[in-house]
Amino acid sequence: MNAQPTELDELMERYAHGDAAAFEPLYDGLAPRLRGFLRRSVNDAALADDLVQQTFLRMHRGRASFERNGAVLPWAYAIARRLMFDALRSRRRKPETAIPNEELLPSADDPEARVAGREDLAKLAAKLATLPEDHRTAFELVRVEGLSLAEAAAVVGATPAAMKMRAHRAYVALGIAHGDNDS
Amino acid sequence: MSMPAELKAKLAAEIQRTPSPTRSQLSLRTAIAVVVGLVGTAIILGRHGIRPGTREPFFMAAVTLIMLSFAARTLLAAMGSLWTSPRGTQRLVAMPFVLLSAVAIAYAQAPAQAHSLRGDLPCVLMTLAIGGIVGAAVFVARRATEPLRPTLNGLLLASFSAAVAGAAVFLACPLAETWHFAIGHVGGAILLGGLLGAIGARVMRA
Repeated sequence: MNAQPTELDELMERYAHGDAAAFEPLYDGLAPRLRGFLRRSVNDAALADDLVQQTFLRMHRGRASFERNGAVLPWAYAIARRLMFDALRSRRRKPETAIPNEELLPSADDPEARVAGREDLAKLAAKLATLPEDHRTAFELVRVEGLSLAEAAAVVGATPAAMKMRAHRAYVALGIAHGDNDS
Repeated sequence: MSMPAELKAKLAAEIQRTPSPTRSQLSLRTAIAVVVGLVGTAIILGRHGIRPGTREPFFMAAVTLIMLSFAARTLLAAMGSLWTSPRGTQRLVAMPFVLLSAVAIAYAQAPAQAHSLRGDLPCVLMTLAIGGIVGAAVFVARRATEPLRPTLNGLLLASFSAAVAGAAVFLACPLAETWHFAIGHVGGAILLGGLLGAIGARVMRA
């Protein structure tokens, strides 16, 4: 059960009830986030776009099984993540380290800051690569994707407490300050 | 990071071509499937009749009710919550083990009866027949609707079918003998659950 439904949750709820008009705003709200997540994870724009399409097709076919008054964000991320693992498995690849990509760098007006930011990202990527998979996923979902601990836990099928511990360990290993994002 | 318009248009066209039930349609389809399954069960059970043998009516009623309660829980879990609590899952998994162990212990107290594998076969076949009808009905009704956990969903529906079949065969079989119960009833239900569970993931995947 979702404590406080977001606009996207309400759109998904309407879509599960058969309101076809809810699909477009739902897509507009979710697709960019899923695309960013998948692009960072598979490091292949075409594959990421294909996985976004597949994710929405699955959400469409399975809309009736969307939990009543549930949260669509973890549901969509979980479907996308599963599809990503299937796709990578068939290509015998592993997920890439999910670092914030270049859109998060300072603007092009400040080239020096941009270069420094890029170096920081490269260092972060190197550190992330050394983390265990579950810690890396926790970092990615909570810090990069901005999901709450409860949402991130739902994506991977863990408890919020376990997700909090994994995220904490990732922050410690990466030397990043963090707050309690357990809403 | 906005999505290209052509991808959105392509997806919209694909969705137009891809049927998907709404939540109320799926609930209705499931309800009809359950009714079809229960009618099939009642017909087969009616042909055999309820035969208590040496068993107490209270014992039979209690075991049947618990089996049907387990069946209802598995069906509701398959229909409802994606994120079942770990404690709820533990209870659901423990329920048939506790019940079947209790029945086996109760049967062990009953007067000794001869056991033959040939005598187990009708109960296995009846379990497969009833479970096959119930399972086919619910799988057809809910096919291709689970995008996230098709294997788990398939197993839940297989457990539902096995529990309904197990309850019916328990009522129809008067033989209160531990080995017969273990092989003919529990073995039949495990075989049925395994067969349905094996196809469940493929059938349920959205």
